[in-house]
Amino acid sequence: MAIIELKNIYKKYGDQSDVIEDFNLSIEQGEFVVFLGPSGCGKSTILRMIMGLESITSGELKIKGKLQNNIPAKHRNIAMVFQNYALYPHMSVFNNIAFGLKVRKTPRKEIKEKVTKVADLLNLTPYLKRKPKNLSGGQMQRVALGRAMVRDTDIFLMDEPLSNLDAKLRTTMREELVQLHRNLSATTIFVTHDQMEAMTMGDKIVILDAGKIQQVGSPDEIYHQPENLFVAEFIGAKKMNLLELTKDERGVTYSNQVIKLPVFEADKEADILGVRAEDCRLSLTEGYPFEITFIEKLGSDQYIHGISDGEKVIVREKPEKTFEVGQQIYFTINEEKIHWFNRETGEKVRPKNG
Amino acid sequence: MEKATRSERIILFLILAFIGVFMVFPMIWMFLSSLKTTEEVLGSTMTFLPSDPQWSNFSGALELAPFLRYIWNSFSTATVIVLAQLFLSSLLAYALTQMEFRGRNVLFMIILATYMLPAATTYVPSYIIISRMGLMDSLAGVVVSNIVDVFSLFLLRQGFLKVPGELIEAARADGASEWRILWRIVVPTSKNTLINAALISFIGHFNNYLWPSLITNSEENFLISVGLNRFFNSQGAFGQTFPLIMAATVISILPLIIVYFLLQKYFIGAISSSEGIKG
Amino acid sequence: MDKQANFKQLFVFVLIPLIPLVIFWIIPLIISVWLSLTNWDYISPTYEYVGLDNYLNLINNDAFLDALNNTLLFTVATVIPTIVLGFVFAVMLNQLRKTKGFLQGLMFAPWITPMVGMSIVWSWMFNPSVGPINQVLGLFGLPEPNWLSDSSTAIWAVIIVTVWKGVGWAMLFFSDALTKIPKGLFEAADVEGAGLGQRIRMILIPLVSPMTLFLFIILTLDALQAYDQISILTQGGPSGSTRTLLYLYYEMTFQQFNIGAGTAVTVLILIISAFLAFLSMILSKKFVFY
Repeated sequence: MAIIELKNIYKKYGDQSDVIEDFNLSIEQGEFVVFLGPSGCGKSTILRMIMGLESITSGELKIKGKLQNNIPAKHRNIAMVFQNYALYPHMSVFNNIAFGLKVRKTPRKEIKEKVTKVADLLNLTPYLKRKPKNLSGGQMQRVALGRAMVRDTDIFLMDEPLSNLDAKLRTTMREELVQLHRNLSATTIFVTHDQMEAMTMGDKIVILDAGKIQQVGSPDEIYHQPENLFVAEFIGAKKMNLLELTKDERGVTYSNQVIKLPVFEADKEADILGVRAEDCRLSLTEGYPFEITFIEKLGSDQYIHGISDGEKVIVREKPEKTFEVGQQIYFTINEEKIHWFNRETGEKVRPKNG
Repeated sequence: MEKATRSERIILFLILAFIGVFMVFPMIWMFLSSLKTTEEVLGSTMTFLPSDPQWSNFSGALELAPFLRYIWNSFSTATVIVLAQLFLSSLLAYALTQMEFRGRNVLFMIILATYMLPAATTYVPSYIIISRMGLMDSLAGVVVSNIVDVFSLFLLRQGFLKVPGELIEAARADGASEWRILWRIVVPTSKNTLINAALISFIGHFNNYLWPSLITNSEENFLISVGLNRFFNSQGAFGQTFPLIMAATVISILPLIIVYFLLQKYFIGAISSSEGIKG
Repeated sequence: MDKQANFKQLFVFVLIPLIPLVIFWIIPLIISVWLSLTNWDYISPTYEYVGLDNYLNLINNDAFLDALNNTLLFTVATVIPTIVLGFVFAVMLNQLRKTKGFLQGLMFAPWITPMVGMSIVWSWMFNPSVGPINQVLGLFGLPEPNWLSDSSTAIWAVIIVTVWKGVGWAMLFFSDALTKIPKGLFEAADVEGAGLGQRIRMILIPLVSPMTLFLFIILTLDALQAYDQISILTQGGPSGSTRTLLYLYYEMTFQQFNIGAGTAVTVLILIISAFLAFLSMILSKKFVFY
């Protein structure tokens, strides 16, 4: 059963155009869902609507089958971790974690037990008496988590909780969070603009742009089967190469070479060929022309950037091969890994089953 | 804070507007009273609006005492005091924030402590000092004895602390003297703080009463508050001259009200920048 | 790095600005302490050192004890309402949007007006027969006190005027402190189930406590030095009921020319100020979060 259901959600501020447009999603018990998108895409707005910090202009939000639209945040019984942690600066770590229990008039003994347990789990025991200003970024982050965990709830919302940490700590915290999620098996919605975070943590990724869902799927699905040009370009360490196709009397061509098109679903047309860098190869003799403009060596691989018929193309190659900037060579495409798109709609064009 | 809904905001607005009107009511009442006749004021039935505005009350008040002279005295002394204070406070605030010297922190603590000093403690000796200087009963005496202002020094210090250090280091690297850095870089970048400090200080000195009343005796040297109070006390038969007294008060308050409505945002800003005075 | 100053710079930047401070504050302070140990009457060319006599006389003087009592009442009864109302107004104003600035402007307006002029106006507003205050009270059938001429109400009239003038100032300080509290803290408290009252008590009040302390010190110092409104509204009367320490000092020094006793009063005010400031610093360690 879906634990959180969003149906035809819209959000509007005053007379401005919609910030969120017809948002539909259902989230299952225990899932780790990541909202991923560039800043300003509306991902935090949706999270805050689920939490009850933003009103819902229209549509239905149901949690465990009950309509939530008009229920205030404090009665939704959801825990949230804020981007800037929102730790109370005047309270010790213990009191920060205990705050939610205190306002609910939990007996002292129980508070102490719960906080101790959570602090233990998060390695915060030595810091319980400190004030937030005497904590490191990672410790503050864990206090913010602890504050959510101590609550008697099985839904966690996290609004870019790792974005204020340095790169190394972020990787560690990422693993810790996944571990934690496995142990608690609480439903978690995690908002981020960092696709590495999304890919490594999420069971399900929701890609958003301009207030609309672009694609919902597992990390593999969104990487290997992007539904549209936005997802194709947004996901991946390198954006997908997109080659503009032209039509002439010979058929569809790219760089003066005929491209063999599959048969598409009902009268759909493809005019963009998408292919990832790892599905291309460089060649000295055959393929499409490619002039090397920049070589990016990453140790395990190298990315060769180039220009092909006016388009920027990136090819991944093994590190042993040597290339030079300015070299005029060719690149080939693994035809099984081609993605077809229509420029006008921006949507993927599917070949007919076969 | 939980956002108030529209209807809650309307209720809040009405409550606060009522309080706001209450706050300015004495000013409104003063103005209306200044236009009434003595009979209206002393009548047994309460009237709010004057039935026949007596604008002549204003000229009447001006005939009885040189209020314009008082206002000019207040304005000119407050202006000179503020300029001198800003000049000296800028120097000292610069030294306290940008220069290194022995006893800097001790000096700041001493200055901080003098802020707690009741001014009255200094009146008798200052009175003697002013008379030894031959400045008794003169506007110069009012100016000279008011040049110290610890509050404006704190404000400027807070403002100067916010000037980016790189800016000053860059200027030093370019070979600018400290004097030049202060007036060409630090002061222009802290312009708002200076305006705020100037306004707060100006209001205080324009309205100043007790100390100027002690060191001035002749009418031509009265500040507005001193002159107004003398006028108030001299019009012994209270009721009869009440509208005249209100007219005189209006005259004495009007310049500040005008300044306030023109420069309101700087007053509000003054408070923001003075936060953190704790040191 | 700050620059190590040379002598010429110290002369210009430190010594020159300190001259007026030394002449009109530090030296007078020292002289005052000395004068409070003498029996100088301002007119006689000679005076004698009398030790602590002035202080001992004061402590045994009912007028002084009454003034001390009045001062403490006046201080407590102006500082606390000014802070509480200033805070409440600021919290309420913080909820408004477009009208906030305008209302702040109205509430702050009394602060810029001269205390002398406005006290004259208030003295008429308090007039029992023709003043608007009693006329309004009469409309509601409430008691109509004699305000300034009744020794039990006169000090309250002075307190009302003082709070009226200072509350907008406190409100602005609190407004500023409120806008500096990160919005996320209230959201976090909301998420954790805290109601409005809990949020105010457990988050808002602790977070503005540095501002409260600052205002407490400033307003207390101001209250201890209140003179203008008393001088116009009541001249310390009726029957000494509004004679504060500062007003007593004024009477002793500038009306009775009892310089020694008068300055002793100001030294005591100074000691009280310093003690209260010190006390609030100590208390702040306990209650104030920085």
